[in-house]
Amino acid sequence: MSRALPADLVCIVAVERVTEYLEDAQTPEERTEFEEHLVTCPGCVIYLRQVRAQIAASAVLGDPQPPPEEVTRKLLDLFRASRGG
Amino acid sequence: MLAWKFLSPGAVAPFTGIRWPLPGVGWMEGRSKPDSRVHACALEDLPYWIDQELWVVELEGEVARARRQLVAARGRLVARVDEWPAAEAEFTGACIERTRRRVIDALLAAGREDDAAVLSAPREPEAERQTALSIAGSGPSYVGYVADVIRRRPYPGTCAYMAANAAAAIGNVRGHDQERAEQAAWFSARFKLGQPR
Repeated sequence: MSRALPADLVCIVAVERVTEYLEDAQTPEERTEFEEHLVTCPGCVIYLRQVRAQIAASAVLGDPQPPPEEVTRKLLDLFRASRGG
Repeated sequence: MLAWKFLSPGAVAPFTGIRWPLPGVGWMEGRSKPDSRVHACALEDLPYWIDQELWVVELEGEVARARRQLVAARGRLVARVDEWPAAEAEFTGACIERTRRRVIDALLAAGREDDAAVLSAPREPEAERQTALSIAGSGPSYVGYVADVIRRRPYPGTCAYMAANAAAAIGNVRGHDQERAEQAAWFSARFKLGQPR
């Protein structure tokens, strides 16, 4: 019986894993899979750098304030809609 | 143990952005978590992690084998392989040539001698890419991998990945593993690398 070639990580999944990666919350296997994808995907490398820069920029802002309730509700609605409701 | 590691320009780890101490300066410890480790490559791992700088690294403590890499408690840079990345074009050229030969063999096995002859004729890369796309459009889609590999030649890691995908499309996992082994053998031969010691 032949061994199957494991499916490669695709960008749409990789970008969802960026936060886990930056928070060091992945298993070693997940981390390796993620970094293997980065080697072959300049676009995801750029995205990772953007998120890292965004975090660094946010760190110099003042104390975080919760957004108005209406804004939170609209953002959540948009997020749910983007996931097909 | 001596092994190898690809880094971005300036001895920077490509994904974490952490700069490795230069030779003689000190050791790189594992990252933030207590159980974290530094990563390096055995010869066969090199094609999966290609970047701008190739270094000889010394790993200290227990060295474990993980998926496509070695892991250790700490490591330090020993010396840079100076001929890389100047030899990038040689490497990608070899990836393209192996892919072209694999595809030609597959065309011949499929009885498409005319297409094989067309693809065998020497051409400039862009002309070869267009030829491959044209043949792929007539049926044998795997010929399109020749175009993909040529298109990725400015990016050695991606070019190597596409060459391995082409080999997998034609020869399944065995083809993939053979292509990756040939890529590793290229590094070994070109820079006189051996197994970690």
